[in-house]
Amino acid sequence: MNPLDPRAEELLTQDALEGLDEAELRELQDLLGDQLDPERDTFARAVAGLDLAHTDPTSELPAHLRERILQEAAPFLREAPAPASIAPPAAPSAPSPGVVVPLPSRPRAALPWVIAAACLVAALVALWVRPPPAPPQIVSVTVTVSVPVPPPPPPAPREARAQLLARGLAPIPWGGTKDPAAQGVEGDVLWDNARQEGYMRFRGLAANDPRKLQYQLWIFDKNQDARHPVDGGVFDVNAEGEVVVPITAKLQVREPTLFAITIEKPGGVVVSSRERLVLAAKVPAG
Amino acid sequence: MACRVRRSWTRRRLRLVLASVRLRPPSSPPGSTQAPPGGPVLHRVASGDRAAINECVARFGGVVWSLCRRLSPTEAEAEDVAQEIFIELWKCAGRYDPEKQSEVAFVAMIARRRLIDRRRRRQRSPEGVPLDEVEPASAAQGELCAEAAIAVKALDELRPEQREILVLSAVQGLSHEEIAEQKKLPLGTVKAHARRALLRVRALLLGTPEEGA
Repeated sequence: MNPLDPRAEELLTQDALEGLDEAELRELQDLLGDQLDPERDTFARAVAGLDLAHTDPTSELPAHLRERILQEAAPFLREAPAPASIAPPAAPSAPSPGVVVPLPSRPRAALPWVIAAACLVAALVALWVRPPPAPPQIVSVTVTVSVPVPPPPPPAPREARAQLLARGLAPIPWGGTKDPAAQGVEGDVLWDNARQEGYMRFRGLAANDPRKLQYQLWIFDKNQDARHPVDGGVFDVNAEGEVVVPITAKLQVREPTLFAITIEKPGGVVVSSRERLVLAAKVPAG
Repeated sequence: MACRVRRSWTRRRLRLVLASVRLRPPSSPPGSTQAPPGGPVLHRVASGDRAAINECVARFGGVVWSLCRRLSPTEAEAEDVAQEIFIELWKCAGRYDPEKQSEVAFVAMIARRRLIDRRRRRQRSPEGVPLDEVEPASAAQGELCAEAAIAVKALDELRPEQREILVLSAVQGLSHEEIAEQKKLPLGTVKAHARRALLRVRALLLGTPEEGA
């Protein structure tokens, strides 16, 4: 391995320990060219060694997290076809003494022979009683059978979110406000602009009584007046633990800059007074 | 802090004598480097094998969780990043090269990269964990994968100030700026110590002469 440029060493160290910004990464690319990835790997391996040396081998994933990770693996599974089940033939029950038992019938095995014999007899009879047939006329019959196939059900929000994550989209963490409903809330928002699809995830967001109030999402678009953000849908939280809520934007979102959640009257509002702003997630620039 | 680090390392050295001769047994405990029958589990994961995914979570879940807990400010954040790490693992499992490293080291690399990304997104450092709480548990257990054993050996050979900076940076997840502030050292000195220390670990890992020392 060739000695490294001191600046490259410095950047590679920083990359492995703290990460690089885009400009630094470009600089490293210029210094190392096609050796960038192999060299980054060697430094990353050194840090991985340190990490493993300080890893608690008795550590275990919490059961609920393990479940969630396995659920989110669904988009990556390619199910192997299940092997055909071959059941052993059922053993005939032993006859009771003194009872006449008929030989076991074998209708399936005999059926081809019966059909063949019937065909032969029919052919012989036809030859016997009828004049030689005219040259056969080929008739093509196309039968189209239309069987309605129900569309596959849409994936559950959690699974759909995992699929977006699998496409490399980065979730944006929620930031809380001083509103009581925001205390201790964590989670993020994931938005795929190309598909106009997204999901919000919350942990600790207070359950609401939908007869009294509801949560409403607003999506601020760079191309739209900030006084009129896109309505991202009204939703309720009625469960403890982690909740994943799909975003239902009422208009096309072109360049989202901020996702914000307010508390509104049941059914939501067209224009929010923003009296109770609960959470916000700012889309990183670039 | 410096005294605590040194005291801690004196204890560790005694354990390392044992650790160096008690490497991981051939059974396959969590994070084992032993390739299971049927090839690396990561390759089977890449082919979309459900059983392999279960096996992967069972084998490496503990390692990933330990890293996430250590380098995340809250348990909720650790859970989020653990999920992201496994999704990343499902995506890039096919890139694993058994000639280069053990599977658990590959998983740790993916985890570390994701944790760094997460921290940069968060734009704030994780809360520091007292160093005594992040002793090399594997040394105490006497079971180390090859990469970890080499890293521990390299750490033991480092000059104390280099070792301290590397542990604060890599193990505790402090930024170089935070270390400089905490240790009252110029930022350039912190960076130089970190670089030399990591180069030493890397050189031992690659079996090459140290560069830039």
